[in-house]
Amino acid sequence: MIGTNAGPHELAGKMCNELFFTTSWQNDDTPEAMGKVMQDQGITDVYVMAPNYAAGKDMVNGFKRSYKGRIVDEVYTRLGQTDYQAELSQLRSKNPKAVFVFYPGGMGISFLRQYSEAGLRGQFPLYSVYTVDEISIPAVKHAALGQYETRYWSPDLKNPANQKYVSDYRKKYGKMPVFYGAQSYDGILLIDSAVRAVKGNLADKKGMIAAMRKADFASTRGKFSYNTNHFPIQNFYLLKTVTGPAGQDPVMEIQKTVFTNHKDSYYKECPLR
Amino acid sequence: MNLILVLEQTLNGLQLGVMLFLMAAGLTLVFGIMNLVNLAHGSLYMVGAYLATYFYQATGSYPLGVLLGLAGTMVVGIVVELVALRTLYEREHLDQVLATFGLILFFNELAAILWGRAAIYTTLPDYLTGHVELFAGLRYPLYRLVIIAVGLAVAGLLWFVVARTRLGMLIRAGASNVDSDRGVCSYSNRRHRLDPRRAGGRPDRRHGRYARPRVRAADARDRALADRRRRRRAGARLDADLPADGDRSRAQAPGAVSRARMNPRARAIVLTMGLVFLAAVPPVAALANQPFYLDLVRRIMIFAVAALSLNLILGYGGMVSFGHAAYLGVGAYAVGVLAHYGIYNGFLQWALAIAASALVALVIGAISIRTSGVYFIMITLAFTQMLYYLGISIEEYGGDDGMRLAVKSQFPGLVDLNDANAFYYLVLAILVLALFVGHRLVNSRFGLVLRAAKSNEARTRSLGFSPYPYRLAAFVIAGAVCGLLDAALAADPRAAPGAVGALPQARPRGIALRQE
Repeated sequence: MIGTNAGPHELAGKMCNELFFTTSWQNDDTPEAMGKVMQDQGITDVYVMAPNYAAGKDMVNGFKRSYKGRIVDEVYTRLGQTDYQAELSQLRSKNPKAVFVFYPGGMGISFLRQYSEAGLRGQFPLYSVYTVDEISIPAVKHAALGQYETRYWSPDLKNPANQKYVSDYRKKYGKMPVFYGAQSYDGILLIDSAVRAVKGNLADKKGMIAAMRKADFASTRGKFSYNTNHFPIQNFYLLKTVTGPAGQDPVMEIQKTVFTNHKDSYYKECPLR
Repeated sequence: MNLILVLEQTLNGLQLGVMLFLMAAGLTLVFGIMNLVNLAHGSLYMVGAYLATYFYQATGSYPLGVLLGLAGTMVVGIVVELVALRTLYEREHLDQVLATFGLILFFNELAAILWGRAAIYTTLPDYLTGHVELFAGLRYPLYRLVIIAVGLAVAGLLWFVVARTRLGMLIRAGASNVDSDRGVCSYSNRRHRLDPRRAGGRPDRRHGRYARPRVRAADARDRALADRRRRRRAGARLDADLPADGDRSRAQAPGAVSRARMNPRARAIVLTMGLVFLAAVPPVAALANQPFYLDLVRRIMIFAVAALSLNLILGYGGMVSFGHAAYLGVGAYAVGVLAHYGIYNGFLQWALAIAASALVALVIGAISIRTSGVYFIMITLAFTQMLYYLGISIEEYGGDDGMRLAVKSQFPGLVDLNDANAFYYLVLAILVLALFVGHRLVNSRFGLVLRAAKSNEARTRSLGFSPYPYRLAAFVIAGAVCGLLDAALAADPRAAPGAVGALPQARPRGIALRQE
């Protein structure tokens, strides 16, 4: 089974399975990178918000693993919530130095918009994971400007496979690809590499697994290798939303590399070797 | 806690209240005055949001988008009234509930076809974004202030129309006393029909819309009056040969009679064929190498038992329970909680599931059965929602995520649920048992009292039976059956990794008839 998105900690650790590979990330990875950024910048008094579900808690745990400063408050909102005004009022009254959030998909759009509308954008710097991406930018536009995110991939990552992917995607769909697309694209390449390695003999499961562990394909993220738990070992970058070309939506740009060849925090619990 | 926070949250509360008011105002009119239970009220709200967004994006003008959205929703409302609601005014609440629930499904699918399933986002025009500094330290989003202002304006207008105009007097008269109103305005028939369009064009905050309810209250009242008159006439005829609430049961009686009178031989053949078919599924699926159908039919059978138990209280008892899914959830949690503490003994797990569901049904039933009709629907729905929120707020047992079952219920020496065939035949046995017991039950003295109480409560009482204990017993039996079922569902391989807690979540969602 090939996963190309969510990476719950159970699957990376105790419940890992030799038949499961993912081309995305373990949930904790990305917030760990953001926690490190904020820790390194010496930011204290952080206000944390996330939706109340498994990934939301993984994200906050990951953040807390590398961020050691004071956390003013940890607020979990209902999954799929569309109105954050009450929580934003609460946030303002706590007067934190910075805010860290995880609001994927539509929740992120609502949250960012309301964050700006409430006038909090200029008041408290906002750091996020999986909240601003190429899907939400066209919807929130300038409300995302200046936003910091950490991620394993970005459209401006300089490697041949990625440049080909980004330009092919833009040609076909006329918009910027998003990381969900990149990791799924990698997933197909991974399957392709394994099928080639066993010469189409799909009954050879051992051969398929061995081939997949090698991750022998040109990933959009450049160098790509698998850890023992079949989760990627990869780099994480700090991205910032900046003004795009004249007349177009803002774009995300890599600022610096946060982690090099980062391994997730659970692989040691995984019995696979 | 400081003053600014209190003030800001007060504004937030006011804004939310105004939103709810805008929604409720239309519903009050439809339900309060016309006595029509319109579950599809939210659908019109949804249509309004979609249309306004669509027109806004098409025209590029926000006010124009809102106006066209309003007009479009009004048209939709009129069409819905003409096609569907018009036939419902004289019917029972149950029929209205079912028909308008159908409308919800229809509108949801239509919206998905037209606009896709992903939410559509739109931006506000620049002059409505941003925030206002009300005073030092208190910034509030401009758009929310606008919503409050619009809502209050609508409330003021409504108050003026209802309390200060001739129209309003007629509405109030119509709401409190149909006869006096009928005497006053015999011209009402000529006037325009009511449509539920006031429901439409309401804001969906996600889409960033607001709208004013178009209260053509006079129409509402006229419509209601005409219908009540007609109903009265019809009612008078009915009263002559049937007691007051007998019309619905009479409508169903022929079906019941024909079922009972079905040729015994034909009946036996149908039953045997069904049984043979179900029993033959595992070998056939194995032969065809399609284990999927084994799973599918097993799940169908599990839900069939759920439907049977619902039929006991709804079909035979006349109790329209929207809380039925709650017992399924309770049963699943009973299994999940025991498994959480490492108890995998199936006898214990299933017994606890049944007992817990029966107990919950007893408590809910003891309170709910004191009401009837639409209030019964509402109160059972409310209980389901309470249990749902209880379920998602218990962190120890998984909260929002539900619980994972690592090990299925174990029945040492009896049956191994990991064996798909054994599990299948166990479910089949439960189905057959449920059919048999159900059949005996509804034809027993107990069942007869239950059915009698449904068709004519007053007459049943006059015969010396108090319906309450019978209904409660049926309610508890149905709950217990559900508990058993969910123990079985929890062991279902597909449900198992998918979290037991997701069951109470998914089901009330499905049944709570909400627009998401």
